[in-house]
Parts: sequence; structure tokens; C-alpha cells
Amino acid sequence: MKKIGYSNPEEVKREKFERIKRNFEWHYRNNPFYREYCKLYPYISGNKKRITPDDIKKYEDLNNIPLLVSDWFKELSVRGLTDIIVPENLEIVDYFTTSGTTGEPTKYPFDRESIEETKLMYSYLIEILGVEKGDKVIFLTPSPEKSSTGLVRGGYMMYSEVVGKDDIYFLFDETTEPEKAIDTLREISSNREGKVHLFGPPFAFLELCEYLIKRGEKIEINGTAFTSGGWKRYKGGTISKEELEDLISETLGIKKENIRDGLGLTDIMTVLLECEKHQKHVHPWLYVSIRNPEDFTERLPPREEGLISFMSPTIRSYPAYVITGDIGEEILTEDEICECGRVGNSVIHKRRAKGTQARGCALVLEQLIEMMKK
Amino acid sequence: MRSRARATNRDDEKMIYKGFSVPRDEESSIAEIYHKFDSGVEISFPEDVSKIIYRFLERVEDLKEEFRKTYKAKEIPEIWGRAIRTCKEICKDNLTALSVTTGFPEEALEVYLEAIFSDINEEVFRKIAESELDIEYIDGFKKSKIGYSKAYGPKYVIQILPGVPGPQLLSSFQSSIVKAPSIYKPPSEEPLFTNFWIESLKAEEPSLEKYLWVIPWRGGDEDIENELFSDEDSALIVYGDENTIKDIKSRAKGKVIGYPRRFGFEVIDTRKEGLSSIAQKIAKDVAYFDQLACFSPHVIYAIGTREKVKELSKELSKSLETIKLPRAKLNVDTKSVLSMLKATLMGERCIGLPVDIYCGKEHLVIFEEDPEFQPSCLYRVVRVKPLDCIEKLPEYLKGYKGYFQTVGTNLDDKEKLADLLYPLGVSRITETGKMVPSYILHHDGNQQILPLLRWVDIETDSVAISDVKKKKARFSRAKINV
Repeated sequence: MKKIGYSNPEEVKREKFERIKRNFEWHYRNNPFYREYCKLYPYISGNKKRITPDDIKKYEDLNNIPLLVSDWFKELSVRGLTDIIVPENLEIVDYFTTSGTTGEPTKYPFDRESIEETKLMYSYLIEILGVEKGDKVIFLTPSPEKSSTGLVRGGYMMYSEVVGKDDIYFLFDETTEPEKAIDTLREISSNREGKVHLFGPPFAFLELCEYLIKRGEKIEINGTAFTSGGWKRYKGGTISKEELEDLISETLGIKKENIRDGLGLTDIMTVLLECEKHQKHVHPWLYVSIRNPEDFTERLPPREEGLISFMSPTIRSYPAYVITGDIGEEILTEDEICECGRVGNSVIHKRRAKGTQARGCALVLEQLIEMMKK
Repeated sequence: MRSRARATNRDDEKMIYKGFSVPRDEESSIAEIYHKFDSGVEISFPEDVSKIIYRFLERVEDLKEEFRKTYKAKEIPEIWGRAIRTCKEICKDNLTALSVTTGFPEEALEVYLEAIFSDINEEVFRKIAESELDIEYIDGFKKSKIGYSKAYGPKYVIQILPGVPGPQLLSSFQSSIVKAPSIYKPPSEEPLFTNFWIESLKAEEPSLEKYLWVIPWRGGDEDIENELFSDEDSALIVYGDENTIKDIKSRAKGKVIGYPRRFGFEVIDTRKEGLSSIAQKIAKDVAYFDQLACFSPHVIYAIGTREKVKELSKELSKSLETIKLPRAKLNVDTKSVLSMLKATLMGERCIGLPVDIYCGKEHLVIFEEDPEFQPSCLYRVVRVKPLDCIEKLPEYLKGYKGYFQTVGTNLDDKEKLADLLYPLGVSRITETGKMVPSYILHHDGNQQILPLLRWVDIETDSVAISDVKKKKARFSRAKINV
């Protein structure tokens, strides 16, 4: 059986097209809200053509599928109207909530099948990270019980699928004191069976590494460091990715090819992970593209700045076709093969569009941990 | 090098400008670096800014004494009045370059410059100063209620200026009428207008050049700012966001006069005149400077039936569509914010929330029932909200208390409006269509000259020496004339 992500580009595009078209058809027929939204979309998108499933005939037509604005999910949550986007007669079994930087967290409704489909995609992520049964995972965060951010909950779901819940540790659950956190880290990582993987927002890695440097200490971690949640600080400013990679390598002994950043696609409960060549790969079944802010149906060519958008065919409980307020660029296209051997395009996140509020799980976590310190 | 006031705008010619201004005797020691902007515009900056700042600080004590001795306060309005015409010509001759740095299209910039320079003259400058005090007190001791008094300006003033052109005229007047040598820091994205203005003053009055220095430095540069901000006898006039002003206040030893970001709004009675006529006036207020100015309206509160208020929204959209004032070119971030907003609103409409939107090529008018004030994301995005009565306004505005400045209105009872709104920070009430000021008497509700002065009162019944000298001088002249 082929490993996920190493197929022929044409094969990947064909399968992606079929799955997204099917999912769009399903939402169009069963979701009265979304059907109504599709009628209004010509006035939003900048392109006057109204789209129905019959209009999706070829791969490029996927760009015409009406996208929901990510801020809008928050608006619905604030007004208690989340269920308005759920198709008729679908049973919702859980709600995932994410970043509450501006007050109310955002809720996403999930049915059972969509939850199972979301879990399946974790095998792709785990394969990129090289996580195996028997490894340990240390979160530089509080536990999901104490933090409802997508970063923690999503990360927990992802890792627990492979290593199991007993081999996941939360460094800042009981304490935020760096000394105790380091003792815990040292104790867990001293177990040489299997690898140890660290996971958390950049600021948490930074504080840990800076503390080790201050003490003149090092810990040797045989595994990966996965940063996610954004590079902005709660009190303002940004963390330098290059500098942090140097620090992690120096103080935690992790090779740079194993220090990976992720781009959270919170609205569809997934993350784009860097491979060993530091390309953030789009999962073979997701359609992630950079769109023209003045015409959402126009996909921009590589290296041109625009709005990050993504579509997932794995979610049935709401139309997971989203355009975000984040500016990004496409680096590799779907027709190219990355140096790591994987196919599928890759994107980078450049910034939140200036004029919008900063948001991101890392900011919320930093705020939470600051509060816990008091 | 003086600003190229008569530069031509041929496509094949580079437009090179100076982004700083120092006294002539300092120029030769300054090495320049050139920064390229779009459309062939190049602006030179000092390579070593700190060197110039240290020179200023070394000289400032002498400069201050000289300024006080050389000029009478009453001469300043006259010089400023003359410089208006000069600066207007310089700006017109260098419209392309200004368009590049400000981001406003040339066609719009012509209109904005007309608004900045018209209706402001020597008389207005004098009025502003004399509305606060008898300016002769700045020149020397003069009889006062307690004996004799004199008003002293700061040793020097640092001005951190905004991105929108215009405030430089009045803020330079503030520091010069109190005879304080000044450093002007132009915004990094728009270094030209400040220089054009200061060069105009120097062209009209060459002796002033020693007291007016334009020095650009990177905001937040601790080495430079620690030096500049360390004198208790200095003052700062700062335009910027609240965090910047707060930060500077925490670091500066001298007095800080801050002019943070402000919001404007309009209060309209739809029954008073035709909707098309009201809409055209509102459109002018909204379109000018693309809402980037502190007086720009973010929200229109309209009294009338829901249908009439909706109709007003439609008319406003029509007026904004046809106004001959093209919007600034938007960068990808601003385009993104605007489209995200439009899409979010459409989504709200989709689920039956009471919102209507009217889009044009360069504007977005939002009709919504929610009465709470909300700042606009700018660039001609304005919300129109129905209002039952003006007494409800404080409730709707309280979330942004302290951030308001200008209110445009067609209501007759402006005093009632003032009584209701001043606790929220409103400091200026004007007619709809006239929110763009030619000048202001009180900036954000405060006096402009007096805060920079410190008084010394001599409590005595005897005659002031300076008065005796003046009387002697008049007596001598009278003897000669006989």
C-alpha cells in the first residue's frame, strides 16, 4: 500500500476533485443555509456567476465553490447560532471550540462520521513527523481539560491516535514553574525506549530554552519538536523562527530537520505540517489555495500574496470551505514534487491581514499560562 | 538642498528629494543615503541620524536664547501666513511625489491640499494664539492681575508627526509661537510633506532655519529617544496610537501632549432636508482622506423611519459612487480586511440578521439596526444606524468613551448635542459636509499654546523693567519725530 502523500500528482488531483465535488453536492442539497449562501455568493466573491454542483466539471472549477469567511464562524458562535450551518437531519455529537482571543471561543459542530474522518487524517500527519507506537509526547501546554484551544485539543487527538493517552504528558498542567517543568522533561526523556516528541506553541519553547541557557544546562531529546499556534507574542512582538530553531537545537539536542512548524487550519480541525525539508504540505485530500482578496474565485499563482483558503471534503456537519483573514503564499504547486518525495502543494503563512485583530491559539495559551502564574 | 519646488514630472526624470532639513551650517557634515520609492521617487536620509540629534542638543540652549531674543511672538502668525502660499505651490509642483508617499491619487490629493491650505492664513493663526492668551506675555514681563507675568516656552519641542498631511501647519505654529527650537520627526512612510512645509517657512524667513530641524529616525530607537526625551525642560507633541503615546509618556521626562487616534460620527435628521442632499454632504465627510483623519465619520446615526434611514444608506452609496475623489490604492492587507467584512455581513444577511449592504467600486455602506458604535476599518466603509432620539446616543457610544472628536450634524440644537456628548470626549461639532476642518481652535478639546507655557509671576506694585524700556523707546521716537 502506498504511503500517503507519495502518489502521482495527477492521481492526487483526481481523487481530491472527486471527494470535494461530492461533499459540495451533499452540502448544496442538504444544507438550506448553504444553498441560500451560494445564491448570495456572487455579491461577496467579486465574481458574478452563481455556482451549483453541476458547474463543477474540472479541477479548476473547485475555485468557484462558495467559501465561508472564517470570522463568520465566530459571529455565529457569539450569537448562539452555530447550528444554523448544520445540514438537515444530521445528528451533532460534539462541538469543538477554538481560540477565544477576542472573547467568545468559536464552536464547530461535528457528527460522528466527520469526527472519524478527521481522525483518519492524523495518520498522514504522524507519518510526516515520524511518530510511532511506543514514543512519548510531551506537550508544553496545559491539558485539554484546562485549555480548550484547537491547538491543544487537536494536538491531543492527533498524537493519542498513535501513542495512546498514557504516553502523553502535559508540562504546564500542574505547574508553570520552569524548574519543575524541566525536571519533568528530563525524567520523561531519560526513558530511552522510543522517541520523545515535544509539542507546543513557539513562546513555550522559547521560554524553556532560555531557561536552560540561563542555567547552563542541556537536555538531549531524541525525537521531534513541533511548534504550532503562531509566532506572535501575547504582549506584542514576534518570535524569530530561525533563532528559535537554533535555540532548540542547542539546548534540546534536536536536529533542525526534526524541528517542524505547523499551520493550524482551525476551522477544519487540522494542521499543515512541515516535512523534513520545511515545506508545509497540504494533505492530499484538502484543497488549500491562495485567493485574490478582491475576487475569491481567483486562485493566485505561487509567490503572490493573498488570502489563505481551504476546503475539506471530510466534514459533513458544516460546509468546511473557508477563506481566512490570513495572508499567505503558495510555494510548491500540486504539480510539483517536494524534495522529501511528497506531492501536494505547500503554503506559508505570512501574517494576519493588518487591520484585523491578531488571533491564534498560541496567543490564548500564553495568556492562559500568564494567568496561571499569578 | 532645498526641496525641488519647481521639479518637472517627466517620466524619464528621477525625482530626488531630501527627507530631512537642518540649518545650512550643518548640511556639509551630513552623509546621505537614498531610499527608492515607486515611480522614480527617491528620498535621501541622513546616514547617521544620532550625530545630527546630538548636534541639535549641543546647540539647543543657545538656539533657545536666540529664538527668544530674535523674534516677537506677534511675528510668527505673519510668517506662517506667508508660508501657506509657498507650501501650496511646492506641493502642487511635486504632486506626483506626494501621491507616491501619501498613497492618495493625484486627483484626490489636489482636493485635499486645497482643503488643507484654504481658509488658513495669518489671521487664523493669530486668532488661535490670541484666543488663549495675550501673546506679548511670551516676549517679556507684562502687567498682570498680580503684578507682572511672563510665559516661558520649553527649551525645545520634539514633534512626532502623523501620516496624513496637514497637522504640521498648526503643530509647528504651536512650538514656534512659544519660541522653542523644534525637531520634527516625519512619518517613515510619508517623509515629504513635513519637509515641504518646513522648507516653505525657511524660504519665507531664512533666519528661522536654525530653529526648525526635520530629522527622521526609526521610532523606538532607544539610544536616540533616551537622549531626546531626557530633558525635563523639553516638550513633546505626539500624534499616534494610544500605545505609542503611553509608551512615550512613560519614558519622557518633559511634558507630553498626545494626539491619539480619534473617531468621528454624524447625527442626521432625515426629515430636515432631501436625502440626496444630505447624502452628498455625508459622502464628502466620508471620502476625504479615505476616513484616515481624526475628524472622519465612522458611523452615521440617522433619525427617521427605518425605510427613510435605509433610503439614506442607498443615497449615500450613490453619492460615494459618483464623488470625484478616487480612493487611495489599497494594499493586499486592506483589500483583505474589506472583503472579509463584506463577506461576513453577507453571511449575516443570509441568516436573517437585520443588515443591508450597499457596495460600490470604492466604498461600502452598511445599514444595520444594531445601534452600538463600531469603528470603521476605514477606506470608505461606513455604517448607517437608525436613531430614535439623540438622548440615546451616550448609551450607544459609551464603549468608546474618550475616543471621539468631531460630530457632523444637520440638527439645529447643537448646544444640546454638545451637552450630551462632551462627557464622551466629543470636542468639535460642525455641519454635515464640513467635518474637514481648515483649522481648529481646541485640539481634542484642549488649548494648543498654553499647555506648552510655564508662567512666572512677579508679585509687585512697582513698574516692570521691560515696560519702562518700552516707554523710553516710544518717548525717544516721539522726540525724533517732533
